[in-house]
Amino acid sequence: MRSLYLSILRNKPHIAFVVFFSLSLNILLTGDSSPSLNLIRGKTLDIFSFLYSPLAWVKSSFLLEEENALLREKNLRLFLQVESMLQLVSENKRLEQLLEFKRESKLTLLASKVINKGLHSNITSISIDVGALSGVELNNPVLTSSGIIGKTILVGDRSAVVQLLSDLNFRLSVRIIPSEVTGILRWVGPNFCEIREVQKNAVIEMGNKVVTSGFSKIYPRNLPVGKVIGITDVRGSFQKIISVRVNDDLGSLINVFVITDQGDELD
Amino acid sequence: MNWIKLLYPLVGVFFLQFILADFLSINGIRPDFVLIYILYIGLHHGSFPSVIVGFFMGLMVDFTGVGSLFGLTSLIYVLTGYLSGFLHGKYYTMIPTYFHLTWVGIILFHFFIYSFIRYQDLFETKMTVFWLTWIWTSGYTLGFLGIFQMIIPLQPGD
Repeated sequence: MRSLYLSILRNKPHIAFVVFFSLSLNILLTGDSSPSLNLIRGKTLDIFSFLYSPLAWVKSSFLLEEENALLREKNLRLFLQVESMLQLVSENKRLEQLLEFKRESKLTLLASKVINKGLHSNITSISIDVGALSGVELNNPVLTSSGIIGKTILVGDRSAVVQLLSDLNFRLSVRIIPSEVTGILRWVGPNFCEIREVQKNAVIEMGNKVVTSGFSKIYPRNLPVGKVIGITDVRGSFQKIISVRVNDDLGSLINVFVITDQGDELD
Repeated sequence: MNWIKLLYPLVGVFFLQFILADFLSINGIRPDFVLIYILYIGLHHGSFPSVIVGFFMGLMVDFTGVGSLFGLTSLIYVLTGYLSGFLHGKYYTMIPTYFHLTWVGIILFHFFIYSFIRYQDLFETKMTVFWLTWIWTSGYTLGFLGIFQMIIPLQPGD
């Protein structure tokens, strides 16, 4: 008995390694799909979000002046755009009535602040300051004024974790306009994605817009994603690879919107 | 070994990461102060405390918010803690260059496992981008480790 005890004591670093390595491996393999662990993660996230909120406030205060100037400039530009668009709206209404188009419902957007970008070496997720109490649910699309950036993957009472485009497991069904070619978008590098499995005969040009296809149950159609910056023909294949620059810098997100209700967008 | 002596810096390092990670982010890449601390524990106190600290710190880091692969941080911190423990007390029995190359190798290995699991898709489709991501991620943390190393030497007793 004593020799066993001494043996354990002698080999405790190795035993600890085996035990904790196995435990970590078990968490890694089952953690993402475990409801009880997700519940704990949701509660812990609320605590960390609370702890991080003063820092987020300080950070946003630093950026406030710069943001204000940008917003003023944007406001002026938008004002000019609105003027010309008002004329287009009246024309569009008249044409819609003529064609008996069903008027699309508006998405319900919930504004939120980024409170934390995780502690990992690479940014693959962010935490936001709205949660279940504000009506956020799992798999709600998250976007900025420039376009889609991810979806909610974990929801606490007052905060939620957003899985960003840059996450390994993130895929987005997209459409390239005007050619209407669809494909699956995946992240490759900083603000740079690829659409693979695109037919070689598809007519795609540099600068074409990439939007959500609407085939997914999560993302409504026509939300902006990015634009085409490269087209690669794969030799000996019937497909080509489309390189896409996403609209947002994922590392500098401050405010995002969550689509909490898509109305009849999915109908 | 006094666990309390490990605990205070542990809390400090965690909050350092919590506060500074975002400010020091370059193109989405951040330094990993927790990893640096685990390496220090391994070199100064051996595998046993660094494995335990690595496991719990990994969990804490993942609890702050991770999109997928919950538990990966614990796994690689445990591995790094265990490997760095082998260098405990070896500074005076090893050639110093080998000693330093070994801990650099451990950090590179840590980030290789991390990048390989997190960017396995890139590994298959865009090998160059994968290697660049690995080099930048590990290089950034190694840069900070180099600075800390001048303040608190990695080898104990100096």
